[in-house]
Amino acid sequence: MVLPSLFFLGLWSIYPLGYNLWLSFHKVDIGHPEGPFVGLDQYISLLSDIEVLKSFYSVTIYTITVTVFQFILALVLASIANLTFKGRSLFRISMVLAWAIPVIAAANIWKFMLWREGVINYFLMIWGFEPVSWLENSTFALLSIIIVSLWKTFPFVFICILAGLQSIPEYLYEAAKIDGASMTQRFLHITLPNLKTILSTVIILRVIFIFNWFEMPWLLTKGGPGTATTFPSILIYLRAFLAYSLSEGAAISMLCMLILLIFIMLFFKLSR
Amino acid sequence: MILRNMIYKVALLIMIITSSIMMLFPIYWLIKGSFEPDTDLIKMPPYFIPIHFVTYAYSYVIKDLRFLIYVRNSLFVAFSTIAISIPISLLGGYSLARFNYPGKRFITNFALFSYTIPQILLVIPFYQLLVSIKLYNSLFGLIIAHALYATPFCLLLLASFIETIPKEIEESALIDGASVLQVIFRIILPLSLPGIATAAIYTFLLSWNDFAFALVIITSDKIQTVPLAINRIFSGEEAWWGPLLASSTIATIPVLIIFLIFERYLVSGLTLGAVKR
Amino acid sequence: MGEVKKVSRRDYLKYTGAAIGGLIVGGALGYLAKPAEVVEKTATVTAPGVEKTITTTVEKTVTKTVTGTPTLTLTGPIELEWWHNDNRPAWIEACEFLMNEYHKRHPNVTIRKEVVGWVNEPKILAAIQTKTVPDIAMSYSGGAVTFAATGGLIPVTDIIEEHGKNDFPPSDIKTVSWKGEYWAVPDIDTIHVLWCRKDFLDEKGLKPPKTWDDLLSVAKALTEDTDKDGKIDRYGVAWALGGVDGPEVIWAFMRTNDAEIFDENLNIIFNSKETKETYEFLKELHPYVWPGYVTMSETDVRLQIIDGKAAMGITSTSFIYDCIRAGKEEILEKFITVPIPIKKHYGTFHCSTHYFVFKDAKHKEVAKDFLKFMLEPDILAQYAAICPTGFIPATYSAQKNPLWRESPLVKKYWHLIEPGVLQAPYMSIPGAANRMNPYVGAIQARLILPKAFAKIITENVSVDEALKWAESEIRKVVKEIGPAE
Repeated sequence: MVLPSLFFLGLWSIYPLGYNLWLSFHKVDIGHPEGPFVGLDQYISLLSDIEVLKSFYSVTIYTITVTVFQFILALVLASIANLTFKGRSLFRISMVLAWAIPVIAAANIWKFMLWREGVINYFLMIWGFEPVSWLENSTFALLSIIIVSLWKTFPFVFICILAGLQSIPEYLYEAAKIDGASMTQRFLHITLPNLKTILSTVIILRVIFIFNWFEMPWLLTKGGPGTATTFPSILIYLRAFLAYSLSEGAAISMLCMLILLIFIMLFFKLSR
Repeated sequence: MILRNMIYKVALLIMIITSSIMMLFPIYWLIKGSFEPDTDLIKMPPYFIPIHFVTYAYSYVIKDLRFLIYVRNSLFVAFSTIAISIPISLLGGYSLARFNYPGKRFITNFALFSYTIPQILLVIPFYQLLVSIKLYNSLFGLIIAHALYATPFCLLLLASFIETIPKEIEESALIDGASVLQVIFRIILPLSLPGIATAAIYTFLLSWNDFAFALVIITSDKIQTVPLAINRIFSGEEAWWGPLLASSTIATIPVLIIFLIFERYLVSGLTLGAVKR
Repeated sequence: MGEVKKVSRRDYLKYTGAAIGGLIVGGALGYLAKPAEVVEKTATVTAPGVEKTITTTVEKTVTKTVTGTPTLTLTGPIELEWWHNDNRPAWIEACEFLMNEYHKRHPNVTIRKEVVGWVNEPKILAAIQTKTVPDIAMSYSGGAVTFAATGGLIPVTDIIEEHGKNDFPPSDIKTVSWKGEYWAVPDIDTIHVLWCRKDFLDEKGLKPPKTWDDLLSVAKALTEDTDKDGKIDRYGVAWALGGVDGPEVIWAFMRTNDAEIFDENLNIIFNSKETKETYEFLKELHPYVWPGYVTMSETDVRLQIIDGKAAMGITSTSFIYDCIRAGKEEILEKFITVPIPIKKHYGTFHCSTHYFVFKDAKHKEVAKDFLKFMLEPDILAQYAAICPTGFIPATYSAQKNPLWRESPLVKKYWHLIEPGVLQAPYMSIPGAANRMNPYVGAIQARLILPKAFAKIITENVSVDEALKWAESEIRKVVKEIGPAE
């Protein structure tokens, strides 16, 4: 019943993937518009390019940090949102609003808040701290992107977990309470196992999404300062579209895919 | 005991308030900024309420940029995308969650494939496919692109939600003679409303905020979408902050309404179907 | 003990009804929001407390005809599709002017102009590959060459030669040349100059800087902590090191010292004494430059100098229009502009736009004829006069033409525009001051120049090492792309 739709989908994913795969084995750039076949040379030169390696390193840190914190925060806050209290609807909406803002707006408003004369430094200063160059310093730039990405993508995980929490029948908790289980025990032994499927699906989807995310890092720092926050997705845009080296971009994206596929396989194995 | 309860409540309250402030503050800043003249945005110490309250940004965006046309287009595309991708994902998700067939693992993995390369590189091949069926520069082409991009995600999401629904209810229905489709629509659908709501909101946002596909597929002014319109506010070396913030605020309003509508569904329908043995 | 609660039919109907109802209401709301189709309208931009309003007319289509000229063999109604990038009312008006004038000459051509925005590379590349191209599109700086390399454009060498290539500032032509042909027709330049706040200069009795040493001393004198709270409130200069889509400020200073990346034979001469002097000068200047310059954009630079947080700033002459448009014309009275301070001669980075024609366009010859028409001195001068004030026409003949020079706004702000015109012959894109080559795009996209500077400032690398690094990066680019021609 579902097969026709899936096949249709599959077909439309195959072509783009195949196209990029082909590109990665040829060399299409400003010096070679016809794109001669170069086999693995492109990959070899990319893998020995420090910039490329550094980009994968940065993006891994970025992805892991954002995903981990996203989930911790979402678990905690969704559990809170699951309780009944007055203003609960309001609380939920406020958790989720960040998702509604277009990325351009989010990135730009955070840029305003994060620059040296911005409101965040203002708060730091009235508490007696030194103002920080959030976006102009290499380490802080990465930290800033992490924070802003967290802020922007947290709502989705929050909603998913909330929805998942809702489907855990109340009586399980009641029975546990009667048996004298503490809050932590109830959390570990009832909540988590029941959330397992949803959690693992959402984790995979999030990791893939954040790893390949282009808009937020680009709009916030354009990869700067220097190469501190140049992730592979940014590198692809720079090289494929601005320098017209389409095949380099395709090859980098194949590397992204490879890394993510390995991750997916490992993850599936581990979650048995 | 009472003390512990109180500490617990206070801690909860603190967490609720802090997280709300942190999530809402930038949004407040955005809305406030849209009512300020540009130079006030960079003042230090910053103004916490607009000292010079202006609305020229909004009148520019709505009257000169005719922003509402683009809002209309984006709404059309987003709703249509939902209309296509949610039913497919529901059916497909049910099948992934309940049936077992060879190649199931493969299909699940395959659905993820499209997302493993950055979106910008998908755009050109997608466009080529659309050109071959003569649906470029058309909102329908954009809807197809969005639906194709969103469906695998929704499929996996709904599959995992459906898996959490206990099978007993369906089994009793099937025994009673209901067909699979009936089971899906009468039992699964109501019970998985939170999952569906989540997937619907996600699809809406994906379509609403999408820039890459819209940029390449849409050319004519009449059918441009919101992200394209916002992009046009940037011109060469000048980005006029006022209109940017104003248009972003306006772009958020429909989403807000969607949230408000769907928020209820995120909690309803779940306490139905308590099965006890 | 157990209960099975089936979902009743009523509940199910309720939910479905709600969902469908929501969709319908949402869709209806969306549809109702649609204003009526607009063919001709007037738009006003006002700001509170300001008298000035700007009126623009936006027409959807302009009908023209093409009477037979020897090269045009098409008869009957012809529609040209023109992809333009910019939304500024004055520029839209200027394009309307071009379309109207062309219409008067050749009455049966319709030109349909679509605004596609400034991020258009993916779109144009996709269009070229699928042959769903318009007739004319536009780009800036090295854009035309990038697209030419895909094989999707036709050369416009005949148009440039016929008009006379010496009528263009050298960089305007160099930017569009590749493999011995010219691939686009430049229309306007937005030249970057140093904007100085007269009020701050006068306060200290200083004159606007002419040379590097002047710049250093003036910037130093003007950087201060005006409210004595321990923090610097005003910096001497502000600029955006930007990179990718941003100004190449480093290159501008390099050029004023006659430093280059490649020589006439495309040997790499980047790591030279002149380049070193430039980087060292910029390093010395660093404490007096607004700290956001590493990642902020030119817009922020403008905000800084308007607000007085920086006393001087490098931005383009189009700043004039942007102040007018925002209803803040009075701000311009506080400024004076000078060419970018020099060491040897004028130099600035190239910033212009140009139009090109696609190989798979439906009406190539008509499109080329239109561009040829645009270059006529009277036409180009009038076009530039309507364009945002501060845009400088890309031909010397138009620059001297009184239809531009004496037009009201240009005349009023000539003192701000003139330094730009003075620098026009000295513009260049990084790496192509001597000779155009295929490496400039990659060098710019990889931000080699700004990154070298970032290394010096944020990673405490010595100037020598940074330049060595940059040179090795440039070598890599050359090797990857292969020999030119």
